[in-house]
Amino acid sequence: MSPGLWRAAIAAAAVLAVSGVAYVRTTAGNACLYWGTRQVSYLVNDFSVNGAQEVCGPTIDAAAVQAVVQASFDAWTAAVPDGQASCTDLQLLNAGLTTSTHTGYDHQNIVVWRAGPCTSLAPAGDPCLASHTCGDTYNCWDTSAPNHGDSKIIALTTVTYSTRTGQIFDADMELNAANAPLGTGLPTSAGFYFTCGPTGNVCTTLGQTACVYMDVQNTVTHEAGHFIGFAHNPDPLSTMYPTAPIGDTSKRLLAVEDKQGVCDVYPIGKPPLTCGTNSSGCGCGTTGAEGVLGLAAVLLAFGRRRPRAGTTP
Amino acid sequence: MRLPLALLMLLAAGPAAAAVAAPVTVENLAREADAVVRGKVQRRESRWAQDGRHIFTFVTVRVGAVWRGAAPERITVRVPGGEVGEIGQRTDAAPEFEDGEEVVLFLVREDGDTFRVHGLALGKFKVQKGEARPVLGSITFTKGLIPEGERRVETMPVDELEWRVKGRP
Repeated sequence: MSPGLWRAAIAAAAVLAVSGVAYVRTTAGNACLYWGTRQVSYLVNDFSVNGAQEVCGPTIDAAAVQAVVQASFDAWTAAVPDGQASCTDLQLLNAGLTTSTHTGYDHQNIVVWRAGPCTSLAPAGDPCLASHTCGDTYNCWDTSAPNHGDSKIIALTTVTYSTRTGQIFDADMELNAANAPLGTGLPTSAGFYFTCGPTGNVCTTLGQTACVYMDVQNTVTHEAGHFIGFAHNPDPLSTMYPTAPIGDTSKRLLAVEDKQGVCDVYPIGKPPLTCGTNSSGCGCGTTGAEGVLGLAAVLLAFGRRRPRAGTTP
Repeated sequence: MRLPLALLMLLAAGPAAAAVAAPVTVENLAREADAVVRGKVQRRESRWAQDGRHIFTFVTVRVGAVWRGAAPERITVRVPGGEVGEIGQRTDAAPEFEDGEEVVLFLVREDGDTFRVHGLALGKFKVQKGEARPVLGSITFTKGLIPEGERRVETMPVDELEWRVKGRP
């Protein structure tokens, strides 16, 4: 797939639903990405075993964090457009905690907090440092690996799919967690402090509770949208909007276009909404090309993100 | 600073994806890179990694000018993702290339003449009609301040990009 095809596809991938609400799908050539099954399981890495120390406060409680992750995925499967009945039968199933830290194409979908930079966690001289494969082995953020790039990246999702149909086979989420000790201040180069706290004050120190910094539910809800085949949305109200200020929690709840997207793509009792295959050359989202550009242009005049009613408890 | 980000989104041509990044400047990237080059993409080849789970694409770039650091006339850049047969893999925020594309790359040396792009898509600018444009549609930015006098990774004249890369200690 050439980048040119990708670009052409994304330009055509904004779909104006029947309601006129726009959402954007991730595409590969002419094919939109989608899960072929309605029951997609995911595992949550047990970071209490694998090392991330500062997720949601100083007390390690993987089960509590797992619940927050589940709430994030559930936001999509429980989507109910305003004034309508339940409209999707997509199920994103929490399969529990795992000690696995493996990403990539292995038919195991995981959410994993990397526990710190590989340069700190992998033993010096380990061949994985040279081959940039330490991440899965030591559950670390490999700042020298091309799939991690550097420590400024907060989260990554890797999706494996059929080049012909766009059907997703595997998806994994990696979050770049902090491993610095308490009281050292918030990290700037060794991962990020993920919080599960309420909305409100922004945390000022690592391990602080009752505050928000890089909100787990905000981040994972956004990432879960990608996990099921949605791309960034230029509407500032969308969970898929590509900006997340520190302390942001507005993406915990879906906007109307996000709900419409999951309802259209994974409708109850019907096949997933596909866009064609790369062998057939069928077009994708042909009604939406002007939609995405128009929205982006409008966005230029926005300047600021409007608060979304009901997004913060 | 939502307005510039919105502009980036409008200009971004790559498929949307799922990485989240803190704000970063051209100067910061340049300081951290082993080399910054301007060149042209010659060819690409995707293949499975040894672990059998990840796909990487190897991009051959002919270097026309070295703006910072050192690099040979021809380099290989390893980027995550690609397509091998009927399997495709996208590691979000990864830079994408096309044959014949003119680019400015912020590079970190892996071994020999093989490099990676520093900061994933942040470290690749497409050069066209005197303009250098990063393709950042796959990166979600957090909000944050940048050092005074520095410029965020965003579209700018290629001459300015060169000045910022060469002019920083």
